[in-house]
Formats: sequence, structure tokens, C-alpha cells
Amino acid sequence: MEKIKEIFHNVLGIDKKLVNDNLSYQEYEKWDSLKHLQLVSAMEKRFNIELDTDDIIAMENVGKIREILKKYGVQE
Amino acid sequence: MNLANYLFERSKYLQKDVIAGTDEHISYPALFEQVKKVSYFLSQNFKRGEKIGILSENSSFFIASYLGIIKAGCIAIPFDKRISTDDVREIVSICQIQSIFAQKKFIKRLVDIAILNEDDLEKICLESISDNLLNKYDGSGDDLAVIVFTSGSTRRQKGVMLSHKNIITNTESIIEYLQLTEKDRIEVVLPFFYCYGTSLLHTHLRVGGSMVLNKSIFIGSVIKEINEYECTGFAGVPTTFQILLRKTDFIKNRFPTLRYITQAGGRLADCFIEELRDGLPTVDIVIMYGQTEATARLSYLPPNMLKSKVGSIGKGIPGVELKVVNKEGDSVSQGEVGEIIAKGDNIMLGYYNDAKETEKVLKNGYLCTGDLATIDDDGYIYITSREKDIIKSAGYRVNPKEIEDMILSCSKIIDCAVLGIEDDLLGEAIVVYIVAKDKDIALINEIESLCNEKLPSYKNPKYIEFIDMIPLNSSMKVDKPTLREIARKQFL
Repeated sequence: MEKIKEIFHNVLGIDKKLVNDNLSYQEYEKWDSLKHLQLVSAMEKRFNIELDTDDIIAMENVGKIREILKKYGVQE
Repeated sequence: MNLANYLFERSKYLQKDVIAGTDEHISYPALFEQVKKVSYFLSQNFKRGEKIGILSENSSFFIASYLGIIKAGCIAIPFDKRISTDDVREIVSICQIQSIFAQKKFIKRLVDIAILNEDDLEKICLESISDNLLNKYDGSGDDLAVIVFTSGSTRRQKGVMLSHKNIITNTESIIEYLQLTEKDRIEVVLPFFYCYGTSLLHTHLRVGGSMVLNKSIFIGSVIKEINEYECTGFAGVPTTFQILLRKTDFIKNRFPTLRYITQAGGRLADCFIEELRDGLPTVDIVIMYGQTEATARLSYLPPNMLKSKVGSIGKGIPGVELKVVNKEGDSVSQGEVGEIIAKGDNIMLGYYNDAKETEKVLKNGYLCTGDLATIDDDGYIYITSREKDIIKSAGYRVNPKEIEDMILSCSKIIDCAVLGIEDDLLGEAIVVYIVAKDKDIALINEIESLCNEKLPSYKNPKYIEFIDMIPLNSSMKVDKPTLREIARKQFL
């Protein structure tokens, strides 16, 4: 989770303490479609993976992101 | 005629959904009822001609507020949903806006203004009113209907004033050349506060078509939605297609119901246009050009000309006269670069409260677009650049588009922007920002070699840097002032 918190902090400027499974783009205004792409790029780079379109769409909150990353064998 | 009455003239009793899709459904009669009730409420509480803001994402809330305001003879001012508190304050003060329809999620950014949110709209719509109490205002077409604030290429916000007639005329033209009918359903990713997005709303309401409002966080979701909801149309700006082509398998999909795709909001590099054209052979790709100052649309390239005239913005749409003229005001000869000027009933009334800026762009009945172009023997127009974007490097005039196109031809690049910043030796130094999947230094070296090989020294970039995303302004065009500030901080 620490690596994810760091990515969210770097991309969205959000305090790491506020990054939890419930944090979602619908609730957090700064998380817009452009920032979403930046989050995706940051995760792809950090974990050396390439995310599928369907997974990028499904990454609506931190909880879902963690689930999806698990599928790719990522140790967050 | 009042714009709202015109849009619903033939569609108000259609027994079908105007908004289709997962999140929201609303039928034509239900939407028209909401518009009537908002209009009635406003006519009881506001004076005709009063300005009312809207801060909302694409939704029936936006449409009911927007058209309710217009039907009541008030003036609608849609705000960019990313607007800052300071910019809201500036517009509210310039236009003396007393009230705003705003979704709850945005109200944190609003101060000192009366807010009408989703709950208020619901209450307004619960009131029963008899038709004879309804405001029968049909107005004059020349009355002001909408003010759209655009940051444009200079920082100061300018309010583009559009009349009922401006919007009706442009809507008619677009319907004609895209041959839109009641059967059309569009997948909407463009926001309704942006003129290209509003034109989708206007045209589909007028023909009785329907819209699927995409709410996903990732543009790649349109691939599924277009097929799931059997959309016939899709509209995007350059970045829409660049992301779809470089970050998804968009063109590997088949879209049996998709009849056409439109692209506007800045120039899409030829390599992307060709990929779309060749990858989706059964879909008409319509390249278009316009400005908020022209309501939305000024020209289009018929899809059957896409092969022979790739890179062209086509010719004027029905009812619009487009010319390319030199500094003397004469039409340019073949190959000569001049400015695009436009005439038609879609050209704005002017900038709100800004006679000086209006005089600069509305001259002798023409809109001076500030876009530089050439015209070929067959009358097809090719944009070369915006006058304001030209970089003056080492005494030469450098067109950033030329460098951008060359860099974008490299398939590892998703997007790029080229601009100039002050430089002691060169006057202006060329800065290149690139968006790529992998921020690999080898890619920068590759671009450097490419520029060295293909460009004369004065066109060679001094700085090449990665950026996560190219910033866009409210007109969905590259926000060069912001990018220039970033570059100054980084390099000066």
C-alpha cells in the first residue's frame, strides 16, 4: 500500500494519510481523467506492467486498483 | 425564434429517451417538462435578460438548467467544471451574475452567489403549472442567449456573446452536412460547457436523436459504450484520438452501428488521421474546424476527400463564407499564407463588455480567426499555424506545427507540444514537451537525432522534456500560456 500511497501523493498531491481503499475519483475532485492517465502511467512504470483498457476503466477507487494490481502480480 | 423552442419544436413529444446509457435516462417529454418548469420558475423570479450561471457536468441537470434559462429569455453562462474559485469570482463580477445552477459537488468553489442545486431543481419540477401560465417569450433571434467564457491564447478571459440566431444557424448547418436524423445516437465525451460539446447537444435535440453521456474516468470506455448502446456517432478533440490510438486497441475493434466520427478542437496530426481512416474503413471520418466565436463550426472536410486532401480543414460549412486573405485583405494566391476570415449568421455578436477586443476580431462583417492558412486550387484550406504561436528563433519564423508533426510521426509518442521561450542568443528558444508511455532518456536522444537530421539548425529544439500530460484550456486546445510558464520555471 505504501507504494500506491506514494504514487497518489506524487500525482495528485494528496496527503498519504488520506489514501485509503475508499478514495475514489467520484469523491476526490482533483482525480480527473488527465490525472487518471498519469496515475496509470506512474503505476505501469513503478511496477513494470502494462494495464489493459478494461482494467484502466475499472480503477475507480484505491480498493479496486489494489485488486487489479494483484492480478498483475504486483506487491504493493 | 427562441433557441429552446427551436430545439424542442419537433422533438418534445417523441416517446423515446433523449439521454440513454447506464447512469441516466430521460425521455423527451420528461426533459421538456423540466425545461418548461425551470423557465416558469425563472420568469417568476428573474428579469428577462438576467445572466445565470451553470456549473455542472454533462447531465439532465445541465440541460434542464441551460435550456430553462434560455427559454425564460435569460442568458445562460456555462462554466468550465475545472474553473477555479478566483475565475468564478471574476466572471460573476464581470457579468453581475446573481445566481447559478450548480451541482452539489462543485459548490465549494462558489462564494457570494445564490445557488440552485439538484434538490432545488427537483422542487421546481414538482410544482404543477398550467400551460397558460407559461412564459410565451419567443424573443427575437438577435437577442443574446449564451455567453461562453474562453481563456483563449491570452490569459484574460473573454466572454463570447452568442445570440439565439447564431446557435440556430450553426445547428442547422451541422445537421445538414452530417446528415443527422432521429436515428442518430452519439457517444458524448466532450463537456457541454465547451462549444463543440454544446453543438452535440443542440444538433441531437433538434433532430430528435439521442445521447449517451460517458461518465467514465478513462476515455477507452467509449469502445464498449459505442457498441453496447449502438451509437451512430462519436466526437472528439485531438487528444481523444491520440489516447485512443496509443493507449487502447480502438481501431482493432469493429463498430457495426458507428456511422461517423468527427474531430475538431485543434489539428490532429496527419499520421493519426490516416490511422483512423485506414483502421475504420466503414466509418466516415469528418475533420472539422471552428471557434467559439463562430458558435462552434466553420468548416468541414467531406470524408470522401480525406485521402486526397489529408491535412485540410475542408471548406466552409453551409451558410459560412470562408476566405484566406493577406495583410492587404486580398484573397491569397495558391501557396501564399494568409489569415482565415469568416462570415455567416453563426458569427458571435462580440465579446462581452470588451469593445476593444471585439474590434480586433470583427472587421467589415468578417470574423478574423487569427489562424494562418493556405488554400489549394480546388478551394480546400490548410491551416499552417496560429499567428500567436509562431516562434521567432534566430530571426526566423518557425511554425511549431511542423516540428510537432514530425515528432508525432514517431509511434512511441502519444502527444507533444512545441513552443518558444525567451533566449539571450536566439530571441526565442524552441522547447519540446513530449508525452510517452515510457519516459526513457533514449527516446529523447532519438527525437534529438531526428530533429538534427530533418530540420535546419534554427528549427532544432534547445530543450526536450517529458511531461505527464499536455495542459488544455477550456476550449480543449493546448494551453500554451500555462505550458510556457512551466517551461520558464524549468529552463530560465
